[in-house]
Parts: sequence; C-alpha cells; structure tokens
Amino acid sequence: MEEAKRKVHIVLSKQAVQSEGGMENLLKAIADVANLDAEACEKIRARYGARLARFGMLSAEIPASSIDRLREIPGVEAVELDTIKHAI
Amino acid sequence: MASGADSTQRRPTKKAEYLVVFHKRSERNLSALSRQLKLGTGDELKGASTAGLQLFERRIPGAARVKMFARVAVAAVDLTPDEKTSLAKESEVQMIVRNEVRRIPPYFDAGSTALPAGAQAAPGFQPATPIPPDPRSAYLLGFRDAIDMISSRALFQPPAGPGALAAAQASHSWCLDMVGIPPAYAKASGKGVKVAVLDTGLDLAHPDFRGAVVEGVNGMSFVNGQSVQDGHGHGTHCCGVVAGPARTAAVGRYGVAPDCHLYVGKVLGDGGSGYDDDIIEGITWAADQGARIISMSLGMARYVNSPYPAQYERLASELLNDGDGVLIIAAAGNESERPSSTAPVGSPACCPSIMAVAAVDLKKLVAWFSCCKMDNIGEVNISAPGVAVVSAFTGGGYRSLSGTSMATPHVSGLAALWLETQPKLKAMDLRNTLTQNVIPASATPEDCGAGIGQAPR
Repeated sequence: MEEAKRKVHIVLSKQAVQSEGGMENLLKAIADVANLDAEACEKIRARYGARLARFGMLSAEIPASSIDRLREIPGVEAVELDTIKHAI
Repeated sequence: MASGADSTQRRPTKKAEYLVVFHKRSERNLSALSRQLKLGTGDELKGASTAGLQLFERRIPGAARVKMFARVAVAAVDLTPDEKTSLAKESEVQMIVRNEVRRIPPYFDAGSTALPAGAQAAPGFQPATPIPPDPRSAYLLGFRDAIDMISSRALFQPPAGPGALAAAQASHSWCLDMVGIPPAYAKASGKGVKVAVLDTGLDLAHPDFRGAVVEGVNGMSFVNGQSVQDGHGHGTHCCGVVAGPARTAAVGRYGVAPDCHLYVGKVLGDGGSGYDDDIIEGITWAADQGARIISMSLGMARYVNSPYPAQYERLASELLNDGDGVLIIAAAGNESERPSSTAPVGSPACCPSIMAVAAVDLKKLVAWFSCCKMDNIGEVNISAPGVAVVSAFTGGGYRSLSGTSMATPHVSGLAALWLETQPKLKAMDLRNTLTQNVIPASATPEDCGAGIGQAPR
C-alpha cells in the first residue's frame, strides 16, 4: 500500500540558497529523502520555482514518514505542514 | 405545557436549533409558529410578537422550545427536519437557518496534534482534531454569531419616511470615531495606496463596490474551482471596513480608506477556510501587484509556547524589508473566553514580522474573545474596534459582526491613510508609525498592544 503523503512547506536557510550550487544540492537532498523522482522534481520546480528563488522556500507533497528526516538536512531551516486557516 | 396530544404527534426525529427569520415584524409571525408547532392559541399569544425584544418564550418539555425576538422578527426554535420543511412554507417566513457556529476551528490538524517541545496548552484550550471541540467554545461562538445576526436585523431596518435614507447615509460608524475619523475628516482617504484583502473574496455586485474590483485585474481567486465572488460574507465585510465608500448605498460611512486602491485575493473558500499554500500564493500575488499593505483576517489557534510558522515568517520578513516593503497585518484570533480564560495570539499573526491586531469594544475594553500575549512567541501589536462592527455583506446588504477579523481591516485602512500622507514611509516605518499614533485602550499591553490605532491628524 502506498504511504500517505502530506503537503509541506520547506524553508531553506538563506546562506545555503545563496551559496554557489547550494540550492541545487539542497533540492537533490530533499528529493533523495522524500523519494521524489525526476518528474515530481520538475513539477515542483515549475510550480514553486519563483517562490524558491524569491523567498528560499518551496512546497511539496511528500511521504509523511520522511518529514522528520527532511528537517535533519543541513540547510533546511524548517518543514511546516500545510494547515487550514479560517476566517476569524 | 406538554399535552397528551402533543406527545403522540411528536416525531421521534432529532431536533436542532434554528433561527427563523420573518419578512417583517408582525403578530402573524407567532401565529405561523403556533400553527406549525402547536404552541397554543388565544390571548396568551396576542401582542407577544410585536411588543418587545424577547417577550415570548415557551418551553414544552420534550417538544418545542421557542424564543421570539419579536422586535427584530427572529425566533430561535428547536425543529425536527419535518417541522422545518413545513414552517418554511409559511408566507411570513423569509428564511430558516441553522443556529450553529460559523466555524468550529480544527485548532491543529491531524498531523500536528502533538504539543511541540516546550509547549503547554492554554487554560481551557484543547486541540479539536481528533478531539472534538470544547462544546462551551462552540456555544459561545454560536452565541456570538446569533447576536451578530439579531443585532444586524435591529440595526438595518429599511429606512422609512421622507429623508430617512439621506439621514441613514449621513450617519457615521462609531468605529471610525474611535480610530480618529470624525464625520468631517478630510486629512486622508487612502488615495493612491494599494491595499490587498486576502479573505473569502468580495461581493462584486454589492452596491457599495460595483465596478471597484475586476476579476483577473485587481481580484484573484486562489481557491480551486471558485471565483473571487464572495459566497461567505466575511471577505466582503473586511473589504468594506478597509475601503467602503465615503457615501454608501443605504447606511453611513463605515470604510476607513474609501479612496484606496483595493485588491481582493480569495484565499479562503466559500466555507470560510483555506490552505496555507493558497494563502502564500495570495500574499505573493498581492505583493507582485504593488500592494503595500496586506490585510489578513484569518488564522488558526495556537498552543502557548508553540513556535510561529516559519513559512509565513520568511515571507513576511522578506516582504517587510524588501525595497519600500509590504506590511502584513493579521487578526490576533478569537479563542479567548474572558473572563474565564484567555488564549495566545494565533497563527500566522504570531509571526514577528506580521502585525497582530486585537479587538476592543465601544468602551475601549478588550473584546471577550480577543487573543493576547501569553508567551514570548506571539504578541499583540495594536488594537482596533472589533465588536458590533457594521460593514457590507454579501447579498448587497450590511451586517454587524464581531471578531479580531473586524479589527484588522481598521488597522489596514489606517495604514493606507498614513501612507497617503507620508508616501515615502518604508513598511517598517509604517508599522512604527501605526503603533506610535494610538490612544490608550482600557486594557493591558498584553491584551491590546500599543493601544487603539489612530488616523493621521
């Protein structure tokens, strides 16, 4: 049975993003930990490329079990679940 | 009193509480209820429908419970589905709505029910998923909504008689007076300042906003399958407080910055909720459109000492400090139940780079529901009127609502006024200007921040 996936927001450290090749290395590490294939990575780039370049963060649907391991990647500042907000 | 006949005629189906809204104040309203619910007839009902606000209450054990708010032509009634169907056919009845909470917040979703390290739950504060919400909170929220609805009916009786409409239009919201905008105020109107309201959208056909927002231009929906048209009402109300016109269709002025350039991002669906991903998209869109102020009357409750959401803080801090900067202003949250308990500033208002707004009432007291500073994570920065706030609502009308949601657009509108008068202000300076130009609230800084925001003089 396929593992349940969660949408998460991954916030990268500015230092890692701004260093040469840093962003590519981070994306590769994230893809490895989250078991994202090339097609999934391409979709994420297409959808969140601008957010990544401008704010150093991206969003992705990943297996729930890999969330804690994502947090351990050097250069990943935070991994936040996509939650629901309400009109208050 | 229960009779044998009543008992035998009762259906075993479960009753629920509804608000029955009648077309107008009339003695026939109670007759209609009586016909369907067998409340009794005769002198005991005569006059009860029109004489007072709540003159008639009848409890039949095990059967109907009726509260008639006669002056505003609304009754709170326990009904079975069959009774509801038959009552809706009565010619006096305009509509029947379930008297339920507008939202029962899933304080934390299933993926984050565990308390973060070092966090502690606020008194009387419980995660709603998978644990059901505190019924007391649900009741209080439902009560707040019911009061909002009833007071709206009382406030917005159609103007009658010669000159009544003009008199209504000439009236002035008490909220504007409190934020330093008297009727003759002419110092600023928000002209040339772009303000984005991220919420449930806007009633594009509302007489006070007709033509003001065009979908795809200064209105955009980020909710899958829904247009920017507001199917909820909350967004229209918030847009109204920010940018309602100086001269309205049927009531007095209620908008803080009537000439600002309004951008409407629909990030919450017609059910009143939305995902972080869509909200982040909305924030980015608003900034790309050149909005200098982003008003977000949305949020999620938070445990004491739980961290602020990193993705919102990254976004807000980058926008705040990039070039002229964008100031994000958000509602502190409504989870307090004063005087018995208080709740901490919610998310994302708890982010350091987002300005958190609390609500005060007519007496400048902190509103009973308004969240406050309870840890070193989320603090209240400023406050504004947020109880019985009159503004536009879906369907072309007006509604009186309460919440930190209503306080937030007041501050956003004030920010537009300040930016008009001092256009070179950077976003961080604008934030400081807002907190430095306040009047004191009758509350502590933990409850109301620097004080009640004021317009430039």
